[in-house]
Amino acid sequence: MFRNNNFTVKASLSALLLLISACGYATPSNQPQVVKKSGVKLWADNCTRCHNMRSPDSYSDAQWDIAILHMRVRANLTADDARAIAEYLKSAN
Amino acid sequence: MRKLPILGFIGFSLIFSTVEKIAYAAEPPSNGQYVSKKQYDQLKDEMNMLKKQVQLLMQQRSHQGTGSQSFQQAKTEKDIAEIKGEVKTLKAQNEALDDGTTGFLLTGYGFAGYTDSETSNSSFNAGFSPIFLWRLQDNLIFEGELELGLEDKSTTVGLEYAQLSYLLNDYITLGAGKFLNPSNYFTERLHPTWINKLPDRPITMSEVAPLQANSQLGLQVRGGIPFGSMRTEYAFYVSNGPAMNNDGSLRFNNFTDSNNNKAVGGRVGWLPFSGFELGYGFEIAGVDDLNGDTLDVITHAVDLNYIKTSKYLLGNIDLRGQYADRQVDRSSSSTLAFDNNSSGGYGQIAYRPSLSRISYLRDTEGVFRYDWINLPNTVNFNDEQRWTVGLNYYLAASTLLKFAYQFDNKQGATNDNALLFQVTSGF
Repeated sequence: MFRNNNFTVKASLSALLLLISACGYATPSNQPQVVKKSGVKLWADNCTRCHNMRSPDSYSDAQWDIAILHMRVRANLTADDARAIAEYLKSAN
Repeated sequence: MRKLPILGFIGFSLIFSTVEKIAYAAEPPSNGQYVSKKQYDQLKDEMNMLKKQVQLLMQQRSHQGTGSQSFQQAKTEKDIAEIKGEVKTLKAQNEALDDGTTGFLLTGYGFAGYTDSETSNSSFNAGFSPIFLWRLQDNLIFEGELELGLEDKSTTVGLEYAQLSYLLNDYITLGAGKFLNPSNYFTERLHPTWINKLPDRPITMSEVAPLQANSQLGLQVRGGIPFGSMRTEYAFYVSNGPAMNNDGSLRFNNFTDSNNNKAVGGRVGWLPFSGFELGYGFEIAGVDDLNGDTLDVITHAVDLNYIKTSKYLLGNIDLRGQYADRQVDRSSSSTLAFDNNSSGGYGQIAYRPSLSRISYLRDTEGVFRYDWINLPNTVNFNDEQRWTVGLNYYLAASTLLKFAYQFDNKQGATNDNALLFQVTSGF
């Protein structure tokens, strides 16, 4: 069924390019209505999905910026959620 | 400059007193009321000479004053230069302490443990996994994790992952390198010892012969997209994929690809409400058998995660589950002429009375896990089921003690019941 694996790879890469193009042209007007949550709520919701929450004073502001960027990639956080969580942690440390 | 009037006054006084003395000393030879022409000229010459001397003195003093000023000025300039130097040094030191444009964070985890199983000698073990994070720009990050362990007589060093991620926009992140397998939720999110609630991994995620790869070497695109109060997440990758061993099993450390086929896989997650996540993962790959024929390998995986803190339960409950099914095309090779299908997974429940009034109960957690694996029906493989009961005690949010007992049922082989202990800390 998938003997021609190279075709599968090329088809997948093409699909990814289409996805990137589509998302790249997305504008706020054509995106779904997003419910805004507070930073502390997002922190509790997202971090506990996998592990215990670390205290905000575990890291400095600069360290939280790096840790949140790391977790944004790992946990597929949205940009807005990541920003809100970072702002909360930096205000509470 | 302020000394000059004083010097002038002194000079004038000297001239006046000298003239006065000369006047009194040069008494008129006749009646004392008049001087002669000769005496007058003599006095005039003396007075001019004194004037010159005073002017010379004043000039000397003036020169001395200018020299002093120059010295003071040079000294001040030297002091200013020294202060400027000190400020520059302090500024450099301050900048060295500043975040800079490339932030760095060292994090990770370590553990020490003890295992006493029925089929092998009891043994202590330990490991350390530092994680290096560099934020190169606001939208560019490098992440790397080393895995340092002990095996037999030596120390092992492994590269768990090393990836560069570029955040293209709010919804898309591009990555390249060696990264944790996005289609394997446990491995990607839950495998660190301070996060995993039991001392060992489920069978299907073992480090020796996992059902799904623990990591991939290639490219990935991933991100999260909000939909109202819900969120979806996705991750797709292209990688070297697996290779086939002579017994038909797969190996995933295929760092120099054994063929030109590339694996394509990914995972889509759905987060409809707080604490709940349902995911589907897949991978399509090709492996070469003993005859050099390419066999398709198709893997499907489903994972479910639910976390809830409830005052009725006096704490939080943590439910995890993951199932994977892998099918490899039948080979024409006589030694691999069997249905090379595998499946397995785990289900786990943990409860921690975090809202209890009793402090030590708040830090205690009970865990139960059932995991199993079904392998091809040949002499080389054994199906296995395990039931593991564990008790954890949290010394801190990311530091805990784990005690567990594992009941094992391995078909066609000795059951490997085991007592497990681990202390671990994430930092």
